[in-house]
Amino acid sequence: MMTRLPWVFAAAGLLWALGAETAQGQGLPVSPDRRDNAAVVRGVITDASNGLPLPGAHAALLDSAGTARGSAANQDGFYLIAGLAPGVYRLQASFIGFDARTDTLIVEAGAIVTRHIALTPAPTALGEVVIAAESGAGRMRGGLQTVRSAGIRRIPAPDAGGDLASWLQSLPGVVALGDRGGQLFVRGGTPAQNLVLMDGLTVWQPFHIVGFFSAFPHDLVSTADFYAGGFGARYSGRISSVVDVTMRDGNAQRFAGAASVSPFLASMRAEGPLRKESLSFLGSVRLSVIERAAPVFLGQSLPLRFGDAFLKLTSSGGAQSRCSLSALHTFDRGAIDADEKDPGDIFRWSNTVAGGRCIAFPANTSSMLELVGGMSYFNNVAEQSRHPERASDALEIQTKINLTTPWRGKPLRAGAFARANWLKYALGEQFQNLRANDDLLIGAGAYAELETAIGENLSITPGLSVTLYPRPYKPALEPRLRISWRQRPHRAFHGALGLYRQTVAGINDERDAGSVFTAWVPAPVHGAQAQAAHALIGWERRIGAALRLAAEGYYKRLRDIPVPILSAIARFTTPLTLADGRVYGADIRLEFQRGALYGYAGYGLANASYRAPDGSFGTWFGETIARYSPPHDRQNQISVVIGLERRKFAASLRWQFGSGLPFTRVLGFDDVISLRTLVDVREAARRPRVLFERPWNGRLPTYHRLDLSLERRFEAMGIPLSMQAGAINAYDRTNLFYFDAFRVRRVDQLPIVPFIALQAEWP
Amino acid sequence: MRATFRKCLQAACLAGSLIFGGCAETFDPFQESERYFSIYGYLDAAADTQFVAVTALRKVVTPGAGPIDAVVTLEDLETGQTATWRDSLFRFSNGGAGHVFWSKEPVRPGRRYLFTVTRSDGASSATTVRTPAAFPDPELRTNLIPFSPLPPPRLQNIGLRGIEKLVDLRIVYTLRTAEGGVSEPVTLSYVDQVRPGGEDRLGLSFDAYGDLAALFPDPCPQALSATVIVGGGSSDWPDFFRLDDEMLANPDLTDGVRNGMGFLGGAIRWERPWGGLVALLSGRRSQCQSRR
Repeated sequence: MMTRLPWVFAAAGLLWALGAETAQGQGLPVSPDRRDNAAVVRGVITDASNGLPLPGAHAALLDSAGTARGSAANQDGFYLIAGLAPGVYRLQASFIGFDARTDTLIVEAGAIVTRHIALTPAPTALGEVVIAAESGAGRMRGGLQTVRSAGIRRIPAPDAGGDLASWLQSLPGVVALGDRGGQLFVRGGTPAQNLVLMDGLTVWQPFHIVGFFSAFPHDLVSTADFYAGGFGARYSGRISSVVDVTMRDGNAQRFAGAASVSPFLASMRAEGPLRKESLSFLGSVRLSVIERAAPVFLGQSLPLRFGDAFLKLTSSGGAQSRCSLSALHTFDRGAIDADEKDPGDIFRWSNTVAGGRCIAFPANTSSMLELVGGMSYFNNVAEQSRHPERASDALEIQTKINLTTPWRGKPLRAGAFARANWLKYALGEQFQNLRANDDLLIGAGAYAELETAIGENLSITPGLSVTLYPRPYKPALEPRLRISWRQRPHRAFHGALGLYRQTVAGINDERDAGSVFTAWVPAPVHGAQAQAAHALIGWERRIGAALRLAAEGYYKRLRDIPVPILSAIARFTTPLTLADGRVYGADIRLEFQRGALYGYAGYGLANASYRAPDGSFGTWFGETIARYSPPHDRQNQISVVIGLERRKFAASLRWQFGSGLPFTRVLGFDDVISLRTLVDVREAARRPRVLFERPWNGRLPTYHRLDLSLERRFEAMGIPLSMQAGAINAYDRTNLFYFDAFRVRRVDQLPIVPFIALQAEWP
Repeated sequence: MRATFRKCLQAACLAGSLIFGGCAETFDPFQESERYFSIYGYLDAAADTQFVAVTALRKVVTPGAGPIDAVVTLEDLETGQTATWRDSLFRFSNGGAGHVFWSKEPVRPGRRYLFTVTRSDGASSATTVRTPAAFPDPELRTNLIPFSPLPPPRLQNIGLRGIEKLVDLRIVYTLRTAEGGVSEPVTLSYVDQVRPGGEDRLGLSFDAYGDLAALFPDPCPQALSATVIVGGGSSDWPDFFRLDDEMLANPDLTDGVRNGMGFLGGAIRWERPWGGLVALLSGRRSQCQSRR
């Protein structure tokens, strides 16, 4: 409690100071947004051609003096401009690639004006390239990056389109141990510390076993907010990062569909109106084919299977509301390190997510209300020879209500939530203090954050999230702060601070890089909830019309992270203990866009270390192990993306480089003979043993890979087709995934994977 | 302009060669260390042949493996006499294999020996072994009233004298199986039940029939043979019953394989059939059957 006090006082002080500032501001003479009878203009900006919301579109109100007040539409296309004095305004909505639209509004005192705007695509639209540039990798605001469908697509993946998993892995600070397993580590955090949301619903493990793919292909995603850290009070329950994905709605105007096939994946997508302009659907089914295609394309077997199915129904309702129902099912199965002699451990997991989301603009208030409810189920099994050895089931039923409303002329976002987590696990002998159990953990809480401004250019958003749990878990009190200072029109500083807690922990045996089994359990060691404190500061600027430069430094302090006890000998069963940790680093990104040419280069510098608060993580030949670099500590990362579109061709290139990850060197192997009796050593039972050097003292070789793709669009029999050809790992670098000490062999990542993908779209 | 282009081209070539070729790195998963061999076994001053298991710490031994790159010698530190041992590759029922070195050179009680394993490049692991002093034959006392009407337990006794450290005490039985055959040897260990019985003495009292009956499903087991094994070790013999795998990996605990792992002890192994015990157990079996 003592360690939390400074945060609580700091947050309380900051809220008080801001409140005082706001209150003082009421006495200022000319500020229309501080009048009691201030009016509000709000609405949703959509694409007139298909009825889909346009996240990121801009709405601006100009008064008679020419003073402008603006708002960027959120992921639902919702905009809100509050604190307006009565008068006549020009409302202008704009978005790149669309014709701007202007209306005249007469706003009365205290009025709540709801004005939805449908923008028409510009006949000379620059297409997806330009839209993507606006949300490209070069923009980073306090750990937040927003990407839309087109931005995801420009990262090559061995399929007819792009995928959020490939996009995420192109970012500095995001580490994948290899090209299989679907485990992403963000700025020193573990995969189980990432919060992934689909239309507001938790998805436990959305990344597929083949690391290029996730449940989020580019053509299903409307927008994704990725917080590498420093996320606001709206998000709670995880301590590392947030991937908040808004799936797009189906086309409300006309039926459309697509089918594609590649060596990895076959997919179908269909969408259209069920009731024109008011009810639409979007459905997609994808199934992997790599297991069958690998012998042809790779000349080796790759026993990996995955797939997903997605359905979304959207009702535009009336002018006052918009509701959707979403359902997602994913499955994955395979062995990370199978070879012809040994099938290895088989890992299976599946997600089932279903729920609904409504946004409403109640007639008599100036608020936007968001209601989310649903369930998310995750099943994860590790088996050998079809016998389950370890299994984990996690079910989350959640409901939340989010409110966006003006408060003293500032947008106030507040909400309440309740989550019931049913966690069942049977872990065999893997962890001594965690065998099998069935837990129900119920948590409820609330949050609030106020986006306030000091002067013209400084925006400060303090927030607080509180979550209550039954005993023995402590209430989670999590103050957050996000700051943005626009120094000049194209130059800004951003910062964020926050305290984060995680009660439901995902336990993975980090000693084994080939294990992707994660067991979800309530805080497994003495009920201690994992904690993280984030601090980050960044700067971004636009250089000329074509270049954007962003840099961000971060520091994370971790506490009570459950990790396995380490030792000098390889052993399957181990107890868990708690680690404290420290992660610091910096990301630098440079993005270039001129005409059809796009380029991006990112560099990430990171350092992660764990420390034993109780003095020891275990022993190494009698000595205590007090500190180590965790196996995901990739200290240097470079990512380069180049894309070019010309007429019916689109080419893209991605090169990735990563310095070596920590691994534990092997001292040797021997056979232990227990001399509890004077046995005959010719006949005595021998126990094979692997002896290790101090844990993670070695570094794997550096990793680098070049991915290429060339797309050609054409028509055949009136059907728009696109063919994509390319290669993953184009120069066939032998990248080491990990070394299997038990079988004394290296497990390498994929060799060169040439691919051809074909996609047909209609209409 | 042309010079600039050439410079750019050179830079690109340099970067390309660094990226695509020059960065090729070798990967060695092994940590160089000064531990070369793992050694397990004991020198038995009562045996005519010595056997010691030797494993090269960096090499996985497979059934098809050839000879190990090691020369094993045993030097009597009192006389300086050195014998070179011979290697045998043993295959185990679990598919594994291991090298066991052996020698018929006598090992005497109360001596110090230097056991050395040397690789062809000169790297060697070595350990000094002290054999315990000889001890008198253990006394085996059977309760000679097998048909006593007194209720059980009727105890048998083993008396031990002059043993520096008791490292083994067990009885190995063969039993009649339900099908009328002979069982695999069945071992009951008593090393942790021995009590001090005065200066230099140790004693064990045990109910042999009760112990057998408790272990086996046959309510009236029939013993065909019983062999007593007593092991006396040097005082530095670790208590293997209390060592877990973690402790076994600690070279300090198993004290003393220089540049290696494992443990080589000095011992005297005493072994005798115990006919009296078999007779007693037969009587008890008859009692058991008549009660049923």
